[in-house]
Amino acid sequence: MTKYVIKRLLLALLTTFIVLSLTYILISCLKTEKAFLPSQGQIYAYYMDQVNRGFLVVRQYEDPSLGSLLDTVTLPLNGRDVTYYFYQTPVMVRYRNWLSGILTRWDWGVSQAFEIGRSNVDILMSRLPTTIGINIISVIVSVPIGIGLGVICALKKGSVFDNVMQVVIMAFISIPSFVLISYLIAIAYNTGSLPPYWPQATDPTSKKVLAYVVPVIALASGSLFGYARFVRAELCEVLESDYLLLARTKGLTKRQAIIRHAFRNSMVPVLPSIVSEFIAILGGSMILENLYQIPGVGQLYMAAFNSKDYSLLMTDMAFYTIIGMLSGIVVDLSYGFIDPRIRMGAKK
Amino acid sequence: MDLLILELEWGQRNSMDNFLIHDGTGKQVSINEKDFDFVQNDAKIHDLKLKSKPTTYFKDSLKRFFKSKSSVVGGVIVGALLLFAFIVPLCTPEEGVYNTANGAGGTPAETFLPPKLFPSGTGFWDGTLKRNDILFDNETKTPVSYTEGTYFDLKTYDKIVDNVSSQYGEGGFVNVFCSSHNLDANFYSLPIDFYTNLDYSLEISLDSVEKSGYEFVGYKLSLYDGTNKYYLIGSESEFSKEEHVTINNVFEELKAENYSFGENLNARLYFEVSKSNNLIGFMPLKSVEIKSNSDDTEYNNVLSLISFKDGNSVMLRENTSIGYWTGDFGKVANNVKLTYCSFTYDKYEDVYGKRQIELGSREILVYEINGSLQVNFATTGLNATSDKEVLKERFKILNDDCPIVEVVEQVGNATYNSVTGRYSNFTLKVIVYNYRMLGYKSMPFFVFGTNKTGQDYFKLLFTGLRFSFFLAIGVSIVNIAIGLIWGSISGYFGGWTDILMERFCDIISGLPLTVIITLCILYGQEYNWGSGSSDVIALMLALFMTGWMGVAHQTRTQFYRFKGREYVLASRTLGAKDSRLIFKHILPNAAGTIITGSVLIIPGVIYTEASIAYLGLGLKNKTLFGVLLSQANAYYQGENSFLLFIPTFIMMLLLISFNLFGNGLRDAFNPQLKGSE
Repeated sequence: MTKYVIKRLLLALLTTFIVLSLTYILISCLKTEKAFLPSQGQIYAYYMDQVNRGFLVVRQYEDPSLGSLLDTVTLPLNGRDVTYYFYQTPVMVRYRNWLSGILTRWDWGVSQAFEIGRSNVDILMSRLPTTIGINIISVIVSVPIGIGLGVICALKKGSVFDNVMQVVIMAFISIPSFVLISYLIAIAYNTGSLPPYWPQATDPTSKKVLAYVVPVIALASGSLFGYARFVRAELCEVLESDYLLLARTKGLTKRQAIIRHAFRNSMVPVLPSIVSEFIAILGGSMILENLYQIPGVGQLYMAAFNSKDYSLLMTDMAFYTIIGMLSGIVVDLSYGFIDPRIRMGAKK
Repeated sequence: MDLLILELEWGQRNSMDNFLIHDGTGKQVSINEKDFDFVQNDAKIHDLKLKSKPTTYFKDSLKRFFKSKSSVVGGVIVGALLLFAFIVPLCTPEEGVYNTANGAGGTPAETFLPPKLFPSGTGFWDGTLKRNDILFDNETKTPVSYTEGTYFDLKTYDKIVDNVSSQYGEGGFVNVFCSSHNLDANFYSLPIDFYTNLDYSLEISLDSVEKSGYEFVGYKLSLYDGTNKYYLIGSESEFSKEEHVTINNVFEELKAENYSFGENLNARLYFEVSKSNNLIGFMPLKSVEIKSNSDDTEYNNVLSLISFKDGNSVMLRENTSIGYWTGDFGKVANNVKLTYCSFTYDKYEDVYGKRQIELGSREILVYEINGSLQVNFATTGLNATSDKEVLKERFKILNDDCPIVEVVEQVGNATYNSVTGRYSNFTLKVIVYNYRMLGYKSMPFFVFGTNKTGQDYFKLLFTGLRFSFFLAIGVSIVNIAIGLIWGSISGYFGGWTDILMERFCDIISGLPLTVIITLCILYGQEYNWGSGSSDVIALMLALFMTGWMGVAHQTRTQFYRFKGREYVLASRTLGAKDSRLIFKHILPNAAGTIITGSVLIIPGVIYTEASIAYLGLGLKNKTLFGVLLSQANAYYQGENSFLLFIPTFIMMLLLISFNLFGNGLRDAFNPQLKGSE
């Protein structure tokens, strides 16, 4: 078991490394934009920082051997103007410096355009609390309701309630998230009781609290109905199993049999997806954040994309890749922890 | 078989070799020797032909599929949408012009026309809009800025409104109020001459209204000569709210007090409203009417211009008119009666219906040439006229190609040009059908309305859907092809090949789809793939990179399932090569399941393209269904929200039906998987 866990983790680490390296190299090949800052001095300071990090080279003369010129900065020095020529270092050199920065200093670079000079990790971390806040609430809302709904449907299988719920579940699973979000925003606009977009920092607290309603419903309904369907399917299967019949014949009441035997066993495949949801909390929903104008990680991705801030975009991509990878591993491993019958890494 | 106890009773033997025996229950059964003959003695036994019709795997699956009602319904809806997507763009003619600017004579543009399927007035899907609280013009008996004929179900109601003065309102009073607690307010007319030898009568009436926050303390009325002298006429302490005041008395008093002015005094009528200490001091001035006993009508006219009967009208007076009243502090019209109305507005009628325009002789020439209008000046002369009979004789409308319904007036005399043989130099006031002016053959209607650029939304949506379907089907074919080959190799050979291929898949699937699409779009934009449609190509590339993995995984599973089967072994013993085994034996068995499982790639592609457009990563201004969907998210409220609700509804319908259809297909072709994801 331990061996398998270590093997999986190492494999995931290797995959992440390859994926991020590929992404970095691909993104580095794109044309870098010039820094846009109000004064030459600030631009100079920013470029010199990049030079120190090993992403740029500075010359005091034009040097065609270094490839195409990125930018020039003219500054007065001892009463006379000096022009500095900045060139990008080769892609692989940049890659090496980027990698060593991460491994030695946990330095993911600084923003190129979005908030020039600010550390990418800093920007990401400042956005994280909003995203996590919304997602935690939605998980807290969706998991109990979803499981409860699934259990009720399974116990009343074939009833009118179950049939209606089946249709509702089918509809909600099929509706794309952006349609649901659009409808919710339309409702917010037309009723006027809910804020139709994320409030400003200066808005009153009541508005800030109400602003959670739309994103939480949008996020929760997707996973809620997913859980309901999953739990229903699993529980229905378990309820028809022989060991439940045995439990009943041994004298357990229906209630005891369902709670102690059926429910527990039906949770085995469901729990891992709940666990993975807790990791996905970090990522949030890019579409929701963009449509509802939530200043979270997902919106940062689009902001970085639109301002052509490749450094920040790379960090955000890495963030999403790592989250995806992590949740994959956690799901796989949690199967083994939850269900002792599944032996990890066993040969078929 | 139950044990049969034979109890042969030889003594009771019957005549025809029959024996009576007792079975287990004690019943008597008679048997004879024939019962012990062999049934198939010496008979040749052959395989019998099956009586039931033979069925194939495909037919059997289809039978299972049709048993599931919801899947069939889903399939029918998907089919219908597909059909629509391919037929609608071809069948909807590209007629008319997309008139996106407001035309002359206030012609509304063809933009944002509401959906219309049934004739207007039916109340549902009829291209009409409900209008509430629109100001009503009591003179023309139409709602303000709406033309006759474009509305029906008109209901009018009066409202008393504060702080408004409108040309459509009437009544009310001028609320002259103080701006602060320590300042009086004033309200005065422009200066006019008052003659001391005339008798004046002045009627002032104040509204008895009480306003919360305001207090009526009192006022003074004077004549103010513009220098510094106020000639007091009276004040609230002297006369009540409604009083007949004589100015001549003032003159007498003033003379007695030795005020020096000549025969006339050039002065303003000047109200001073007293301040209130706690609340805001105000005066609800309803009317001022000043008259004189002069014979000079011009002078009396000036006086009547100064007078006013209601608050609304005096507030509307321009500062260039003689009757202009003004003041230094707050003054608004209150309690003004306005007529509002609610009605059903037929926007189609407004845009395409009848309207009166002017056409020059050259513009008419077009219709004369195409044979829809006959111009004949021979019998009636050339003169300008508005005589209907004469105009009918001169301008005969022959068929519907001519937009003119009726000629109202000919302006200017026509002159005959002997070179061209035509008449010119006149203009006609005509009533036309605007849709014919725009080039439509009949009154157009748009099932899904029109969008902000005036395009037929029905056609646009299905054109987008068609493109999306093409894209999705293209992507599906490529992905299924790659996936099948990759999965076959990986699954068939197993071992190290499989491990390496699986690791490769792991790495690619480690990249979130958003990241891959972002990278592709960035590269597409940098190197400008496909000149202008780089985003579409980038999207396709991104989907090619990742989409095949699902199919490959399925194929691999199927290969693991089938490669150990006896028929494969049999074929191999007969010397079949790997490629033959893969493509001739295993793949055909696995393909049905895999391909039916891939139906869901199509809605997946539409979903992805919509997501990208929604995020703003790219694909702007492409006629893809998802992109159109994302463009609609500006219309959350108001009467244009149909632009949001129609495409989202179609998207929902499409995805739900595709899911039902896809799941039904999968369950039918692969019954073991029933109920799973």
